Amino acid sequence: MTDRIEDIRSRPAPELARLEAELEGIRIEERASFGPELEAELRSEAAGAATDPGRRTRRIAAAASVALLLAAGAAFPARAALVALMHRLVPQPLPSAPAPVAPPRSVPQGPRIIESAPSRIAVEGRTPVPAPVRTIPPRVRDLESQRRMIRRYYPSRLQELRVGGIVNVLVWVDSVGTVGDVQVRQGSGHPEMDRAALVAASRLEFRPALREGRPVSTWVEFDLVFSPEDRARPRLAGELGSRRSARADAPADWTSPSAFPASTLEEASALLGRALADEALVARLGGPERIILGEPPPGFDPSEWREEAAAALEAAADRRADNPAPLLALARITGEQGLSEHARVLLERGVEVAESGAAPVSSALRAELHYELSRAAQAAWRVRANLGRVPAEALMRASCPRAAPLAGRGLPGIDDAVPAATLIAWNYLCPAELERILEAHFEPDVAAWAEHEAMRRSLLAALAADPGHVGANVELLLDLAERGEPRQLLQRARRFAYVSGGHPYARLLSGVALERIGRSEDALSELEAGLQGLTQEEAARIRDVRPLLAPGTAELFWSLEREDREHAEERFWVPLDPLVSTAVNERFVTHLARAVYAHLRLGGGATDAGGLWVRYGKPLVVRAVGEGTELRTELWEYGQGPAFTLRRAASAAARELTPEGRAYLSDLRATRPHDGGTGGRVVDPLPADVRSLDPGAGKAAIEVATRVPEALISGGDVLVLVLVQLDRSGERVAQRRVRIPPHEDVVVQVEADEDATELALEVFNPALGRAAAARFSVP
Amino acid sequence: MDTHPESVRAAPVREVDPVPRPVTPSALRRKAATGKSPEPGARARDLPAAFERWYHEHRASVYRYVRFRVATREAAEDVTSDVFLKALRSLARYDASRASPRTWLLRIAHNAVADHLRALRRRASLHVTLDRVPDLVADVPSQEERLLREERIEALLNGSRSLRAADQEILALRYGAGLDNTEIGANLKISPNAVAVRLHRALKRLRQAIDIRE
Repeated sequence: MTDRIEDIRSRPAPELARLEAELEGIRIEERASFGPELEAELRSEAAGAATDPGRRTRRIAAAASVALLLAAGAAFPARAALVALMHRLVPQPLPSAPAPVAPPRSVPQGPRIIESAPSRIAVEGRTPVPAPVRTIPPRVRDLESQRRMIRRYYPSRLQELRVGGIVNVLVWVDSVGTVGDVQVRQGSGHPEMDRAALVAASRLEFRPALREGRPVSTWVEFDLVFSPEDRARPRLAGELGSRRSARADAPADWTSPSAFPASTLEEASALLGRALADEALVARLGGPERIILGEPPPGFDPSEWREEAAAALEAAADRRADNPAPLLALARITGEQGLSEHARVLLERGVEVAESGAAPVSSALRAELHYELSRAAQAAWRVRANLGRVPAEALMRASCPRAAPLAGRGLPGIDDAVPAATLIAWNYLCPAELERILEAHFEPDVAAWAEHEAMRRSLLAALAADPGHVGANVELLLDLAERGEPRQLLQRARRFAYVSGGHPYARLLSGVALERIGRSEDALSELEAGLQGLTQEEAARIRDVRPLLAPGTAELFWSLEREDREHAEERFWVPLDPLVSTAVNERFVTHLARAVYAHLRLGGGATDAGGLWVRYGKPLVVRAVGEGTELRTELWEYGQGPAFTLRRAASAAARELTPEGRAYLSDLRATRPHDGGTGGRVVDPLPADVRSLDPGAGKAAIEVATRVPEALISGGDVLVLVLVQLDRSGERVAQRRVRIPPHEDVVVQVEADEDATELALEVFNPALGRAAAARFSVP
Repeated sequence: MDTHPESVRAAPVREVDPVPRPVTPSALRRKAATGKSPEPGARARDLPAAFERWYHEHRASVYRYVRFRVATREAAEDVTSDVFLKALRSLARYDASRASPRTWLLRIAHNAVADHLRALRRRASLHVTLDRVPDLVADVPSQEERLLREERIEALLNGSRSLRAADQEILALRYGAGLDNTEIGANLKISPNAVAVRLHRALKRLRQAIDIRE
């Protein structure tokens, strides 16, 4: 025991040494005038005690009156009021405004986004914000025109020689987005090309990096790709932060996941040519590529062409049992004719042939066969997705008087199931009653999941053969997004991003996953990187805020000039930010994540289903009825009010609102054009009791008493509490951040900035990824 | 060893105030208007000579001890004032044979801090300050690093306030008042070895409280 104590005395445990050094390093400085003030007070006390025995009584009475003056200030000391007042009377020196920042001379190695040190210092002479915050990297303005600009610098001699290359450059982008300095980090091996990259990069235009919502200067590293094959569309392979630069053999057109990859098409065509073994026939049908793609040549009647091609392919498939190409082509043609079940059988045979190893088939072609098979399974799954029935007797036991006159009308349900028209009527006339019935009596078609599983298996097999298969990756990711499995989605999306060298859809879907698990900052950088990789038009379709606006406003918004529209869009998002102290606007991130899903799966925000998704997010439950008919009626449940009712053809993906659903949406848009929903970073409301502690009329100090929601203190060992002061225009004038142990009742004191008109108190639990926030006026 | 002067013995014995008292409003107004000490025109009064010496020698220790225990500079000033007013009033009861002046002052400070915290606890709330902590300084040349250090100091102090009172006490005596283990032992009436063990445990608990793993 003694040994142990001696041990502790002589040298602190190594893990505590740092803490002890920090504690010992704390230097506490008294206010310069405190000592003399106190000494005078003591002298006065000594003299008063000697000469005036009644003085103490008077001082106590005076103290009581101070307590009243301080508005029940039980906890706030009198001297604090004095010091606060003095602070106000004696202006404190403000740090000078940051000077324009020049690029550092030496370029740091390593991280891709290199922050300029000065950007961390005081913001416009206000209270500095020292807490480390994320920087949103600079974005290239108008990507398409910048690509054209880069193309102009591609040395013509190298173009003629069909020499391509990648130049890795490091660019200093200042706080207005202008390039200040360019350095080549890794050359292409062709000095001419490196020089061209230097000139092109110096002419790029950026949106500046944002830190805490303010533009800052940064270094940014990216690849400039000069590719002779890609002359129509040279790339800025600038997926900032991606783990690998763009892969040289990345698909030329990244934006169409269902397109047949060129190299696979070539191999399949060669195999098909060998299987058909009739050059004249192949030539007449337009060549092997057209047959594989199911595209009749010009002048050919499509039905006749399909018949003739199908007959030749069937014969070839029988003749060459070791060649999967005829089966693939035949399945595609059959699929085009809408015979998806037939196509599926053919593809199953094709996969079997390819996997048997009877003939050398590349892994890319095997992946393609599995992918085609997954699409056939997907078509079968779609027919039964979310399908179920409500037994007629379930409605008999319930009551909805307003729907009574409809009894017996409309199409009867199959096998004593409630018909869709009745469900729609009940949904809008007695929504709560119907919801109760559905909760208790909806019988889902569980066997449908077998189709889903088949689809998933084929997608995984495709990815096992070719991990970079774009279509299989995107379908699998969308399926994970639909089923609400964000962590798996993130893992898969990252893998896809890695193997594809940063495919924009991989980055976008990583962003969707990150948003769902509440990592909004990371989500935004992924989403922005993904959008940069798309064409300007496609990115604009995703960013579009029109679905969120009231119908009249949307037209007005669209009539604005582009610059004004961008400005209006920025202003549109500002008041919607649920957490002002964070580096990103969470509502904007949620919008992008929803819009990405709507774009990739539902046809975009302009469609009925896509518009709902963008406005109100992922429904809590989707139920479909209409078993045995060619029409599905879907009920999208959002947890309050009636569900939205949509219709779709059984085998189709496109949905449209029923007339009742359209009327309901039109009403709802007037009062609630959109909703942040419950996904992503959860922000609970925070009760706050605010009062001014200044004995005078000013606002020198503010006390905020709050009760942290239980959900925030139920886990983790630290809370981060942030108090932001905002001026009249909503700009942050001061921000303070402190870590506290989890505690329910917290009282915060802060000195008010003289320009502050509004306060935002925000509490974060980093372990739980939850937050709570309150906004209030400065008293 | 300090001796107890005759003049102090002659001073009238007063009751010690049970709770901290705010200064008078008139004193407040004068300080606010001039930024100087109260009653600027008043004739300098005499303090008992020994008390004046103790004030100059130990004020910094007492202030730092208090500052370690309370959330704001303003509260530390209030409590420190209270400590010396109480000491002045109860000077006659000081017994040099039982404690050194510093130990005596720190014990009064301990009680004053407890009173202050009790007043806060009536509201059952955790009090934190979000103001800059202008009196906690770090000697580092770079402005940016200084800001980070200062935030770290705030984190340490806010973290230490979540510990139990005995841990806070020992940390404040060690790192605030700057006492060594023997002096802390004298103050807490325990052996230096026991101080070392308690300090070690308090540090461990502080480390847990403030997540310094990052």
